[in-house]
Amino acid sequence: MHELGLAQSVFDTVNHYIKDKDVTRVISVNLTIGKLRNVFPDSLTFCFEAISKDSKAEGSKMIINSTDIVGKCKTCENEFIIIDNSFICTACGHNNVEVIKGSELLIESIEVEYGN
Amino acid sequence: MEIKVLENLMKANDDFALENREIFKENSVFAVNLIGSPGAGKTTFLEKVVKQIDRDEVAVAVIEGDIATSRDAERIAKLGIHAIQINTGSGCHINANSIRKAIRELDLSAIDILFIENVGNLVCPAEFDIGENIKAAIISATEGHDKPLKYPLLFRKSSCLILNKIDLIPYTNFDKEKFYDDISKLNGDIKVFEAVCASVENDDGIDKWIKWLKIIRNLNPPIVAEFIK
Repeated sequence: MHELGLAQSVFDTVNHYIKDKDVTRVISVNLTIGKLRNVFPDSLTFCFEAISKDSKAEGSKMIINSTDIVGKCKTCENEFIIIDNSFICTACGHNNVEVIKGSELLIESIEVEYGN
Repeated sequence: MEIKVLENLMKANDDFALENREIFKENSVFAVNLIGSPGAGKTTFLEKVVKQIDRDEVAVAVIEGDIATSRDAERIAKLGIHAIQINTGSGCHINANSIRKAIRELDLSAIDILFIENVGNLVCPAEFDIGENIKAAIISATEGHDKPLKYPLLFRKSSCLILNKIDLIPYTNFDKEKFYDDISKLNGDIKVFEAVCASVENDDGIDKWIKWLKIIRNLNPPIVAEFIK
């Protein structure tokens, strides 16, 4: 996916949340990224490092919680982890499944250090 | 010290997509985001749809997305349809902001179905909500039967799949059984339509697609792509 664009989005959001606060540095950024999105964590981290240079977020750790794709069967309501892109219900075998987890692209929180 | 954020990384795009969705809803426009590889036959398919659809019954318009040139919009415009070209430059997909700007040039109150032909790409267009009602995936038989499993997000998010150029199957090793089997495992709800490459008076597959579009367009509540995961 567009890791550079996403990294920019993370950076802009971090800056938005720390402005007007007495933050001296950003320690970490916590993200939740679902496996259904085409995001490579290493690429995202690399891009963020480049973008955040010389800012309060320089040197901050990017913590990425990668979530499994979880499907819910619309027939029997069974919830199950999707493996190998098989969206067939593991309980009843029907193939009308909706994804309830695994599409997230979320900044959960940031850990910061305040000044005096 | 933790600061809670809970923000969508695609917020900038998704805010525009929401706006577009509202505007389409206010104007009763049904927006179709057509996504497929370069060469899948998107523009030719749309040309056929525009020719076969009864325009007295359903008013249509087209937005074309390409890296460069206005060739596709020109082709559609020749058929007497309002066609707008978006050139994305280095962008491999249309984003919601571009659609927001493009629809300012359209009289949406006079449009029933808006076809948006996305940039040729099976990856990124699937990731970006542009405010459409449905995503329609199109792949041609010449691309191979393994594309659905290789590009799962698109085929999960699409309401329909057009299998194009089926008349060329005898010249390829496209395995129809394998293809339908894979689709069935990936998305049991997706509707598949078959279309031909050859120029025919009335492509039966296209007729079926148009009929289906008219039905889902009138569903209440209307279909909204964001709920298809």
